[in-house]
Amino acid sequence: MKTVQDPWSPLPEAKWNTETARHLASRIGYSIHPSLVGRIEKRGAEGTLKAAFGKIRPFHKPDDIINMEGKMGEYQMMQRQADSVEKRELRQKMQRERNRTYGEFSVDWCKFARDPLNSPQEKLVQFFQDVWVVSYQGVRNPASLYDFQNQIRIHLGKTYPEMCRRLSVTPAMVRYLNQNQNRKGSPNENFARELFELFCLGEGNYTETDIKEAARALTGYTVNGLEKVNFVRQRHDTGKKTIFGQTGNFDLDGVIEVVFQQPAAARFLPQEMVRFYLTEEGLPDEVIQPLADEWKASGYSIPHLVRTFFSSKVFYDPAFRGNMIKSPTQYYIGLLQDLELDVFPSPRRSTNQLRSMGQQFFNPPNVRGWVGGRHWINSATLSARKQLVNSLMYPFPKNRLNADEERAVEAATAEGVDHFNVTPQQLRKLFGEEPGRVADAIAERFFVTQNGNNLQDLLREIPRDRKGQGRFYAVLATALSAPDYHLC
Amino acid sequence: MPDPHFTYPTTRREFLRQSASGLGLIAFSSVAPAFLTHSVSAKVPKAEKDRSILVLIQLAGGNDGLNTVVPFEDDNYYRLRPKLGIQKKDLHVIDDQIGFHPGCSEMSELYKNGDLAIIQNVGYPNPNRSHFRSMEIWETGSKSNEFLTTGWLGRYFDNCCSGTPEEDPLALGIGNDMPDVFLAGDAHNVFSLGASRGGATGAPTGMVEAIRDGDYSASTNASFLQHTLMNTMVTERKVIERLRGYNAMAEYPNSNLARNLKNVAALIASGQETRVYFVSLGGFDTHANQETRHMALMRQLSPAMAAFQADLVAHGLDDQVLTMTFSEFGRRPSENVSGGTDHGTAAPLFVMGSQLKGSLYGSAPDLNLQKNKDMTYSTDFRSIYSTVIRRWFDADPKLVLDGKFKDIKFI
Repeated sequence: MKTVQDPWSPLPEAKWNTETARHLASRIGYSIHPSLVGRIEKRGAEGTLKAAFGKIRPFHKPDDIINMEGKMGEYQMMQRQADSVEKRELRQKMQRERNRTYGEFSVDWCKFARDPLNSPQEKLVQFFQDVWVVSYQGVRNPASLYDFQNQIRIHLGKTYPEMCRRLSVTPAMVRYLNQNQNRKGSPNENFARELFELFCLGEGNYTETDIKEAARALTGYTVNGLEKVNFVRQRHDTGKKTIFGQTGNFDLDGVIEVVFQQPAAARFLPQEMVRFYLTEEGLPDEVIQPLADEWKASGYSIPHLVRTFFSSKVFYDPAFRGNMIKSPTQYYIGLLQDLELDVFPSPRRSTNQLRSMGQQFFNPPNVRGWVGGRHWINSATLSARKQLVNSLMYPFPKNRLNADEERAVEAATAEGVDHFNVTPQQLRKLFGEEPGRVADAIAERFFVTQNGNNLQDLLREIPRDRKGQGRFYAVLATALSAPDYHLC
Repeated sequence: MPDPHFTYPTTRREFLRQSASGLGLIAFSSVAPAFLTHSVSAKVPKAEKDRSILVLIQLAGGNDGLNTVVPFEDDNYYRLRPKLGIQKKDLHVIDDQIGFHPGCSEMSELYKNGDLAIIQNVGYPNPNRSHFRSMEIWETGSKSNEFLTTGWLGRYFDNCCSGTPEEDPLALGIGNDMPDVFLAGDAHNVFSLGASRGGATGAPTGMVEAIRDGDYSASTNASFLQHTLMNTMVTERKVIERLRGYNAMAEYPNSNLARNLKNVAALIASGQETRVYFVSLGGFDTHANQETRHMALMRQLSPAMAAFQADLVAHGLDDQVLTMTFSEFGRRPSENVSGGTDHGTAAPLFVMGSQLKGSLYGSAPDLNLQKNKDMTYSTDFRSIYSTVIRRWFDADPKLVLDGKFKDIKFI
């Protein structure tokens, strides 16, 4: 990247074109479908961002979770009168119910995020989930995960300190980082450490003493069997604490306040955004600083940060076009949008593939979250990506659906969202171009680089041993496995 | 313009020869397959050829263990299964207590020859009866209430195989999904070969060339992707060539499982340095009409396993290979009203190979149960994993399994 004057000022309108619209489409959402790019180009950056983030689009609690919560209540009632054997059986029943519901939640979320109107918001939610990490493995309750995710969602229009304050007292986080074991006299530093290191400031911007003292300030929270977080005054350490050189009787609010007085806090989230949305390498502090200053001046407003970031000269710098490796989620949802397909309504044929590609829904391996970038790619995950593409080329054999899946497919058909594989008509449209234009047409449609040169050879090679439609499927499957398609 | 006579090199020697003869491969050495870059670091010990290989056969859906190895002397068995119970006269009786399912004549023979062992009543505490969850428990080797993101073999690879050159895949699965057993913390050359159409579905012709010739600037993500894709496809092509050139020395029946096992035999015989193979046979979820369906499954499993073993013996490779079956759970001892059985808990597991010490391990399930109650396992599946890790792979089970499990001395 060359030095840019006033890097975070908006890109001048004169520089707005199809290329910049494409870039914005591939980064705020998952796909560069011509209809999306066309709309974005017409609206311009400002209009696009307003449409994408202007108001929160509600993702209502999935019915499966509501049903599960009802059943959990019943089971808990039953547990009171149960003997030890029955208690164990009930616990197992509850766990099975949670696992099943988690699978349904993953599918429901994919369906919601797959709607291009929701995609930018949900990708932003994913971004925050990747900063404020919790995992199913650690939380073990899909209702709490939904609640956590939804708190992120409804705080997108507020400030980051407000979001941090609220996420700190979600049952998911209280469980995940052991806040329920953090009490007066025996502090647990897990949450305090990650609050500084991974959520707000970054490594090197606090001392071990700051962590110890903050842990004391954050004592007192518990979570009960109904997944409700309570503040228990007797468990809270009311003594004096010294955090970042300030002494006082800090509690959660006090800690959040003092954290956001740190200069590092203003740089931290913008840098995370750069890594998630622009370049895995991040940008030098001196480039980030003006954005940090502006963000801090806005009172750490999230909408302000998002607007500034996606309108800026830096964001549209040609050095950052087509340079990022798609995450499995982006690859999956993007494929569906690019190919105009629907989410298969069963985890087995949808979100399980996310896991094979290395990104199980809401279940990163540890509190650091997904490492991303080149870590997404190895022979196994590439094979999984290829298999995903293949699975979208042909219909799933009906006789291999189980009873639940049959019902789910029937329901999808009733709603008209049952396009699960590429149709011959779609192929005809794609390959109906003049023979000399096919490679370019595919590249324009699917590659953010728009470079069809590398497909020319492929088109020359493949006709020799494949005929008719089979050949087109092969070309398309190859194009969607090529390096260009893994980039955004 | 690609040379029509060009074939992509599949060995290091071929690669160097072609490069030396001016085909210009060195020109894109930034995307050279990993075996080349690895070969430079000569300090890495070369893998021995005669190391032990594990073949896993997954019986997906929950195999009815009670009707696979039948306790014909136990009256409870016939009490719980008035319709589905198999009479002694129809079984392949192997001792005074138990007999193999009528469809398992070959397995019964293998057992008598000491090439097949039964480990009875294998399961785990607090069993889960969901297919997906229980399979996950088996594949990750977790406790019933624990969620692991790596497979038990993936952890073995992480701890024992990192840093070794991986010219060939370390693990290879035949099937459309990457099995969870291989999920690992580090990146390994783990390869999956599509099961449909006999297993030989490579990249479409021209794909390797198209990607090889792709013009991507060095040290970008695009060239990294190109490099990794090349590696994957070169492996794929190599694997498919090895499959094509194979002469089986046993007659395999005409079934998917047999075809997949034949492919595994081909790769082992080719000297491919893969440590673990994974094949799957589905359809064991016999809630209804079990008699016919289970017979068909046993008639697929038994002759396929026998042919595979005979082929290995004929190639003189049987000492190197241990084959093991597993299923997410057994089925309930009480039959249901649809002529089938519902999800249960423990079941027998089979190991096959010429290095086995004995034939029958673990205790038979206690069937003194009320209607619709489940069996209690007597051997923890992780004991078997522990045995395989220690005695077959010569590694420390502690690195792979959380907790101590008693070995079962079948090898």
